[in-house]
Amino acid sequence: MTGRRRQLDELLRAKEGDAGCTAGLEILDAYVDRELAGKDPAREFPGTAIHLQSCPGCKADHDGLLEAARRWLVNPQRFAAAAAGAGDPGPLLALEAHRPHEGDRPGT
Amino acid sequence: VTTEPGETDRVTHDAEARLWVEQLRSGHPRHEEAVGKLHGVLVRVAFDEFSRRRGQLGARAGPEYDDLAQQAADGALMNILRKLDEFRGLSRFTTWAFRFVISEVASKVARDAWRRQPPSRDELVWGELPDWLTPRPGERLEQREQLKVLSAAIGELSDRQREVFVAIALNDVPIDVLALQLDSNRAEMYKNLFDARRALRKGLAAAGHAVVEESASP
Repeated sequence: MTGRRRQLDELLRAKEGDAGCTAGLEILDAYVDRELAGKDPAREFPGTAIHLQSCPGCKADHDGLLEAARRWLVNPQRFAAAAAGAGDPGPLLALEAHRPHEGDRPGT
Repeated sequence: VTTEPGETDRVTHDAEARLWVEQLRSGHPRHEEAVGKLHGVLVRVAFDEFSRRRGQLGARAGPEYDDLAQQAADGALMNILRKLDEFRGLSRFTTWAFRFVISEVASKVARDAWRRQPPSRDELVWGELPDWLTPRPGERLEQREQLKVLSAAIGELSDRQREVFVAIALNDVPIDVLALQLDSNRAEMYKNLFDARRALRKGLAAAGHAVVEESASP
C-alpha cells in the first residue's frame, strides 16, 4: 500500500463492528486483564479491539489502564505503601493470606 | 483433576475482589480502613497517569501534581463507591477501580488543555485540505482526482460531522478537548467522526475512488 493510500485509509478509518466509546469503556478493565494474562482480548471483545484502533481518547485510556494494572501486578508493595500513606505500610486490606507467593503471580 | 492454566489466579482474584467489595460497603467494620487504602492506591495511580500525560498539561510545580492526583482520586473513589454493585468480576477489582481514576485524569487533562488553548476557529472550520494531504506535483492524475473528490465530499457532510472531522482528523484536536469546546462528550464526538468517515468513504467509492481498507494492526 502506498503512503498516500495508507494516509487516506487511516484518515477515513471506520470499520464495521466498532463497539463505540461507551461499550468499549465498560469492558476496558476486562480487556486489559486479558492482555496481561497473555490472551488475545480481540477474540473475546472484537468490537472494542476495532474501536481502540480508531478512537484516540479510548486508546489513551486503554494505554494508561494497561500500565497501571501492570504496575499493580509487578509491584503491589508500591501500592500498599501508597495506601498506608505515612502510617504503617502493612498489608493492603486483609488480602495477603489470600494471595499466592509473589513469584506465582503473572507478570513477576 | 487438572487445573486449567490461570485458574489459581482467577480464584485468588475472586477472593480479592470479594474482600474489596465487602469491605468497601458502608456498614462493614473495615469500611473506613478499606476506603482509605483504596484512596491511597488511587492517588498513586492518578499521579502516575498525570505523569504519563504530562506532555498535554501546562507547566506545573510538583505540589500541583499532588493536588491534581488527590482530586482525581477523590472523584474516582466517589464513582467506585456509587457503582460498587455494578462490578461484575470480569476483571480484577483493582483493574476495574483503576478504570475510574484513569477516566478522571483524562477528563482533567482535557479540561486543562481546553482552558489553556481552546481549539481555534481555523481548526474547526472547513477550508481546504491540510498541507500533508494536498496533491503533490509528482502524483498521478488519479490520486489528485481522488483528493479533489474527498475535498468536495467533506463540504457535503452535515455541519456537525464536518466540524468534528476537520478538528479531529485533519487538525489533531484531542477528542476530549473538542467535546468540551462543543459542550458534548467523547462518545458523541466519536459517533460524529465515525459517521463522517463512513460518508466520505461512500462518497469516494461512488465517484470511483474507493479507499481500500487496510487491516490495521491491533
